[in-house]
Amino acid sequence: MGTDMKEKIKISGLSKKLGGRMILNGLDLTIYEGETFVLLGQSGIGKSVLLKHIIGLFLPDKGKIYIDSELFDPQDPKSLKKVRKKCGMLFQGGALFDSLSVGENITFALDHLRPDLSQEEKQRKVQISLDLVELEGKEDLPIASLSGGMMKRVALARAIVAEPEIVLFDEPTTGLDPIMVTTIDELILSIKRKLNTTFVVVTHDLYSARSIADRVGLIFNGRIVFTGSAPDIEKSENPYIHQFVNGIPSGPLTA
Amino acid sequence: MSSVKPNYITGKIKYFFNELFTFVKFSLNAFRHVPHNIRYPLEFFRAMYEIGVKTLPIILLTGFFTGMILGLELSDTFEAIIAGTSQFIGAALSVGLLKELGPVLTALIVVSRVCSSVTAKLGTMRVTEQIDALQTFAVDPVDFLVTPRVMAGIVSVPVLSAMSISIAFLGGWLMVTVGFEVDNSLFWEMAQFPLKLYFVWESVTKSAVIGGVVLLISTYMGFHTRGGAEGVGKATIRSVVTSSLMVIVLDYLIGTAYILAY
Repeated sequence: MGTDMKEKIKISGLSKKLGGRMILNGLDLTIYEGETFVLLGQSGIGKSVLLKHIIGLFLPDKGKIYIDSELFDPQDPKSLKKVRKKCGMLFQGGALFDSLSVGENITFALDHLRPDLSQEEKQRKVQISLDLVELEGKEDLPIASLSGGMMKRVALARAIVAEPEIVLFDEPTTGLDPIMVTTIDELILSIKRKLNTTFVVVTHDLYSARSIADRVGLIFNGRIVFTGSAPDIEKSENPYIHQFVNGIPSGPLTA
Repeated sequence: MSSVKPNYITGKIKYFFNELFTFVKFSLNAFRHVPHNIRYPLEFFRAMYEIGVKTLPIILLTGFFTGMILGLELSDTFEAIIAGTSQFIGAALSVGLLKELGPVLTALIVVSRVCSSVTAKLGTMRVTEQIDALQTFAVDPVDFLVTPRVMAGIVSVPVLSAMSISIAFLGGWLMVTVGFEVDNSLFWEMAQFPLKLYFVWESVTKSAVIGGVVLLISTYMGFHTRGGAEGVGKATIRSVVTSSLMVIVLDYLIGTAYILAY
């Protein structure tokens, strides 16, 4: 990635200890405006923890996060509110409110992130976001009646409805069948083309990474040990990414 | 073995005080959001409906049968000792129901019906990341999920308690006047005789404090749930056990404080 691209998220020296274990250990990472950055890594290695730091769900023990070159202080309510307006997040299990319908789930996000909008405008935005995830006309369905793939799509619609500048995806294809994985990947690509936002995707699904990534990073031992373009991951001689991509049990990546 | 035990006990004591400190912080945070919930009371009304209106039928049913059985057992026992003493049962019923049984019974039913479901719901929201999702929409989860429920507990438990006392008294009155043929006017005269105004304040204080505390405990347990479905189950058990224990402890403490004060 060249120097002509604007830095959207800059993480510097981020450290976090959870349950006595160092999950992030002085992690540095820069994500550029408009790119889809896919973060790979083994299960339980700290990928989701990193995402949750970007949106202020975790407080760092050490280190700094800059968004649009502004220091993000999750303990400052103003800074937190600003970042949460800029970021949407798709959670691993969808995290949909099961007492609300599909439409109400999406409207809920707008009610709190964009209280300035009129009811009609909110309705219009809900329709647009449902159209984007190919769920038009499903707003009255209860959450309990949705399949896993539909839940992910509703969660995606909810994450993008307030038109965030950054969308964070936590394992968007986990637990889905291969056809649904491709559908979700295509949706991510199509939404990316239409909205031109910055996407940060956390996954251990190489198939998805190859399909959607502009750039790929690999996290291990609390640090980023590889970054490169999507085609780079196949031909890279970096021992970490080589081991990960080829699924070799022995090597520098240990369980 | 002997070196493990002191560490274990120290660990448990540390854990207790750590938990207590977190609970106090959580409670203060919940009360900090009261003004906001008064200005935007939608969630408060929803919680009132869940805690108050939906619990009313079971409160009325248990209250009525409690009054009847109290009337029956007390009259039967009194009559067995000295014939004709069932005419004094009105006094025992009015004091017992107003000061003790009404608030405690209502609170225990609220714990079993409401606190368990509040902990299970919030616990499920925690483990399925719904609480995290709320935060990403710039919603303070304590303001949205905890404060309205605690406020509803403080307001609705005294009202439920008053209804329970009334219906229990009605049940007792029916049993004593019909079953033991005590004169109606004598029953009412006896019922009013020992009553003092502070009994009412004591009853309201107990219900309001217990209502607030048990809802704080159940929301706290739900909020701090860890570890999937098993974690939700464990949190619900802890919530019901701790809340039930607190009902009895607070009833004793507030009752003693009123007796000392008057």
